[in-house]
Amino acid sequence: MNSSGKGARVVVTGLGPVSPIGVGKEAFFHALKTGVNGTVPLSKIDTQRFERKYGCEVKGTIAEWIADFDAFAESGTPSHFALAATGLALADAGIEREAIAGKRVNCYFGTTYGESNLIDDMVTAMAQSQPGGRASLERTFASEISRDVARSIGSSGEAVTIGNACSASNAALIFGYEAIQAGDCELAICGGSDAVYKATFATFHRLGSMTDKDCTPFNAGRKGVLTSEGGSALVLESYERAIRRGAHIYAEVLGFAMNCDADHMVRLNHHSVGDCMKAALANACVPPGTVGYICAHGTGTAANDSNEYKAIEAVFGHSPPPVSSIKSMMGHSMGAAAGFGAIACMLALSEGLPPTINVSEQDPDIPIDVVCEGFRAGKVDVVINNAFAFGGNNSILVFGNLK
Amino acid sequence: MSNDAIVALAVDDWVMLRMPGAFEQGGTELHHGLAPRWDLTAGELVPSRELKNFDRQSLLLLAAMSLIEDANQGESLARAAVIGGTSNGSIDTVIQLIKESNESRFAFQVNPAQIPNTVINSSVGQLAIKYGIKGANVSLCAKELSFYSAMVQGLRFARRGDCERIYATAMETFSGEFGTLYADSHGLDAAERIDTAAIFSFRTCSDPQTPEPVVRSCVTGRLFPASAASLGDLILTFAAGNGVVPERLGRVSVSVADSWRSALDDLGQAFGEKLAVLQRTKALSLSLVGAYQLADLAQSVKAGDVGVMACVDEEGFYGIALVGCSEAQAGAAKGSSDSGKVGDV
Repeated sequence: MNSSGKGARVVVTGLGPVSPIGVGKEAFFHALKTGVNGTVPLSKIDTQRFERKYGCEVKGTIAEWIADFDAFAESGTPSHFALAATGLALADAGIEREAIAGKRVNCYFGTTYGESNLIDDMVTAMAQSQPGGRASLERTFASEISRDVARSIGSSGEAVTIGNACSASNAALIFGYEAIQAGDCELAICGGSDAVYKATFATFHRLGSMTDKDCTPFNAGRKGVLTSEGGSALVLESYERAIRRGAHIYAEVLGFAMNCDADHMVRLNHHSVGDCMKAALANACVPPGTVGYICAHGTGTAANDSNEYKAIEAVFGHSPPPVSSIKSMMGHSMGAAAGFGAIACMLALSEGLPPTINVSEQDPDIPIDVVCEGFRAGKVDVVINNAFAFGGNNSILVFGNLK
Repeated sequence: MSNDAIVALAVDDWVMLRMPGAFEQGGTELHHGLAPRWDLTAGELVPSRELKNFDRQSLLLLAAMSLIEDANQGESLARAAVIGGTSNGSIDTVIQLIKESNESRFAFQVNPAQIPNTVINSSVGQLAIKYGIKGANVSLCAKELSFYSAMVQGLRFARRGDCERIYATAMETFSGEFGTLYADSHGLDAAERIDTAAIFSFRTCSDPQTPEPVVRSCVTGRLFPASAASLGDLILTFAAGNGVVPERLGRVSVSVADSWRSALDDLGQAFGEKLAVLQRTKALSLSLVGAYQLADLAQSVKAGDVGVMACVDEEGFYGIALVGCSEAQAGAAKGSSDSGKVGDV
């Protein structure tokens, strides 16, 4: 199925990154181009009883980036990230909130743990036999992330939070793409959000898949994930609508695929990932040879990077396109991660390829072109954004420059 | 089957499994009625050595699926899709993990076997592994509208044409700590707090005369203003938009928030005996709401009629779906238990 052959052509017109290495498109792109390392000693969770201490955190006061913060002051941090990212994305798209109030603007946000800080607070309150009232309980639902976005813009469209863990924001983008193609909404705001969270930290720590400090995807001896946080949002709309209003078009969504390993809850299956990449390229009607860049899932665990390489090799043979992992700079922000990858793809399509930092000695068993020398100037025309998740959920998108 | 021709979801099979107590004590199966208590054990679902890797939600969903798969005649599920509706995933497993972390000497000393179950998509992931379902697998959180969102996305998957079988699930565990807090906050009696898993097995179809009840259309969004009058307008407008005149509406299933219940007189006048208001207990069952309503329509809509199901919350977030039954056969979705009728709506 080709996006230009079935339904409306869908384009990306707004970017809203709220990340540990930069908030807003300019700051985020600058950080990607200069290879900023966002690793810090974590301050948002108490790491005293953990052996690991590092992660990546969004800096500054989130309220500054949310126009109507008071209305959402009681919401969870993931909602705040989503709200801030949405505001930035809409502004970047040149869309006034008043212009879309009451219209069908579908809001799809992915997450791994939902309103995690509120769930944490709830458990603490339970331990003190003070479970809190109904209002605070209702705010813990994962649905509140996308609903808060819908409330803030006054949308009459869908508001769905997609709990597909680390591939969730690619799934959100796919939902938006399909909804616009089907003519079910005017705009879609798609992305993801997750906060630095004790449960996430404990989980990767316990699994032995967490690095001690820097995240080093594709490096020999890499140690694992660096947990992170943030909110990512992209504005999708039909090509015709974007042209009509004179919007800047970053890219066209050429196609996608989603599948499930149906194999193991946490172990990536490279056969299935390869199948998903092939299906995404077929869906986009793009031959593998035209792909100029892969924004890898690239978590920095030994198993993920190795399996992702095998999948890439299965699709592209021995001459795959350049690959990088932005998680080397900003860690793994879980449900928001693929959205950041999608935004990084817009940089690749317009200026050049973001690097994988912290590669001192590339894993000899991953003999591919890892962009590790720094930002590689020169735009490409077709890119792939990979995202995989616990549960075996793979979501892959193909973006291209407008033809 | 060409992509353009696939327009709807035929309800091939469905089950709602309610499990009030411990797994081995069994549950009841709402299907075409209240079947006798079932005698499935957890050990029959997954090997004993793997049981530690499952939480209650996952086991409940697997148990429900086992009843659906009773009827499988060897159909491969490799290209099927799963769309899970849920309010907050396996929240009780997350709570347990946080407690372990808080109470252990080292905060990372949590039960590794349960870690995969802490993500929202864990149960449908386990389902895919158990049954080899390799198509798209998504978990959707939209509170009471979760199952509606699953149907919306199911219709999009169907129109895309890369799967012919779609499982839409909904599941809540009210017996757990989170469910207890939720039930307490809404004043639900203990007897009404029953863990329940619903699975609908949809076959994508292009033939409106298919003998099974068919989900023809589904939309979610937000009503402005949030009022009973605007809900009535929504139902009529939605039906008309799908080419259905009011006379053809055989049943209108409505689920509303508590604050709306006194404002339903207008709907009663508009739809008379066709109007069925979902019981309060079920209207508060989060992702299960739409599943209860679809189960009702799948059985009660008469041949040649169309049913509408609608759900709206206090803020006006709504879902609405159209379920048709051809002249050929009404209320004939096959099941894994004896036929009957869902006792209450």
